Amino acid sequence: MGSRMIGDGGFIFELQNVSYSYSSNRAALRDVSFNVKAGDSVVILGANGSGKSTLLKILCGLIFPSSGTVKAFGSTLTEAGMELNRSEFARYFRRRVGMIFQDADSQLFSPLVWEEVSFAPLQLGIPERDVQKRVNESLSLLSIQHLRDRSPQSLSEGEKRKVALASVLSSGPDILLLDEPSSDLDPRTKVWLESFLIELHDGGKTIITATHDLELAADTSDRCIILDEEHALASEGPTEEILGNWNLLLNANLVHVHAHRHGRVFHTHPHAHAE
Amino acid sequence: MVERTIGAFSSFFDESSYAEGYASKKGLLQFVDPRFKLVGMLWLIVCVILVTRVEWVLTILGVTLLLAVASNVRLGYYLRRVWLFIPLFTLVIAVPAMFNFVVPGQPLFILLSKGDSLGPLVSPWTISITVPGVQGAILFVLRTGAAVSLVILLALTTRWTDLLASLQSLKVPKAFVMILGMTYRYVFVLVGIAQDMSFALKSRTLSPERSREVRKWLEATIGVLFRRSMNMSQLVNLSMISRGYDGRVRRATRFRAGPFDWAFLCFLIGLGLILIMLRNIVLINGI
Repeated sequence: MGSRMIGDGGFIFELQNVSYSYSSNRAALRDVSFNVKAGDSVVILGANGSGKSTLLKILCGLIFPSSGTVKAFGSTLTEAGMELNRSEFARYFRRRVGMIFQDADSQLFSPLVWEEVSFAPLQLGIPERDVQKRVNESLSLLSIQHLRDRSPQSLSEGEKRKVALASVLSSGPDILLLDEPSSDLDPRTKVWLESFLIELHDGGKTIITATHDLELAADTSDRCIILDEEHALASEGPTEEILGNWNLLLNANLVHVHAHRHGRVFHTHPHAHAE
Repeated sequence: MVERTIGAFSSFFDESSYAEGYASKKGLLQFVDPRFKLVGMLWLIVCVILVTRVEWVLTILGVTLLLAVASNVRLGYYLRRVWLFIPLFTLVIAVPAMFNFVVPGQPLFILLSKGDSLGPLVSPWTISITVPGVQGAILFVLRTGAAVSLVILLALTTRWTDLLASLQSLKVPKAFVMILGMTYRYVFVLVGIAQDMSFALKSRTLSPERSREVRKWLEATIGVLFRRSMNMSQLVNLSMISRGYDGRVRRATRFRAGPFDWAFLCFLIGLGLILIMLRNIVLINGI
């Protein structure tokens, strides 16, 4: 399995002309192509409804393109190939790739926090004694040991987000896919999240984040991929370069022209909000 | 009315979420392994059904009261919860059984004798309350009370999540236990959504609502909740698959039983066996 860890050219993910439609007249992605290397920290930027979440689900092998191909670790992701009870590759993929969903409630379905965190390693066949160790490690990594015996419905949004992270990290994935991780977070938790993501990246993890939060993109990523409102790839490149291109951001509805008055003169300039 | 009902649902779930109440107190039943507690209580419920004399049912009721005291459950609260509604429901069923046309026997109280006149009518039958009928009704009410006492004591002193895990240990299918747990989990989310929708309606309402409009709003709310619960279930499914779920549920075991748990279970089983054996002795000797 090790030889399949990385595909041709050292890429973990290779997307070739990927399109996806929820129904015949509702395209969510159009002809998207890009690659992700091991150790990258990539942010997928786009306005609401541009297809970011759909793209992450495709990268996670949860849904499959209507046309085009997605390769992960050199193998094409197909519905049949990702059936866990049939495919060795699917189990390998699930061990390596973890996804944190935008709505933490949809990810926290177990009665207690520690059961939630133990879910992934148990499903992946890790022995129960090791699972307990992993649960403890994940909870202490996120400093949430005190939440261990709490039920998810009694947690704050920030705590839920931390538990969701712990529940994915407990299976030890190398690649993390995060969908709008900074939404609904208070400023302190957001700052904590940014430094935690940087720490994970420095520790060797590949991180792919979907967001419209430019501040998060600037602070945590090396590379940005922009989806426009037509659900197509508008541009990709180094974060600094992309975030410096105001016209590009303006066209993708990530910044807006802000008009205000100085005395008698109306003045406009590009303006971005962190959220 | 609708708003108050949703509010009541919401505060009930809030309370059950935040306040672990008696289950988190220190006490005898809280100390027992939930699996042993569940088995012991179920066994006593079976015994309540099998024993045939009022005094033996009363013995089990006495044991539940002692267990409640030893588990720091306030007796007034406990008895209210058990006995407030049981007489209402069980008496409705038990009352007809007291009459001679259901359970014949020695009359305790004659309501109407054969030939008695009721205005222009003459009664063709004797209608009475019989001794075996009353005994049967008392036994029925006490049995129901004892069974409900045991269930309430179990629920009060055990966290919901421990009860679920105990069911799993008793070989109830894991998928079933998981669905129960997820249902409980997402009821909170859906009640929260319903309450937000009710607030949104209230914030835009300027005049008292007419019942027709409330009905329309309720229909729309049910539709939206159904749709959102569908979306949520799809996301939960994707989230489970992304973490390795392949249709087979694997869950961690949670409990470690000690000598105290075994002693507790043996006590309850012993008590039940003695009461059942007494029944057999009584049947053989015809007492």
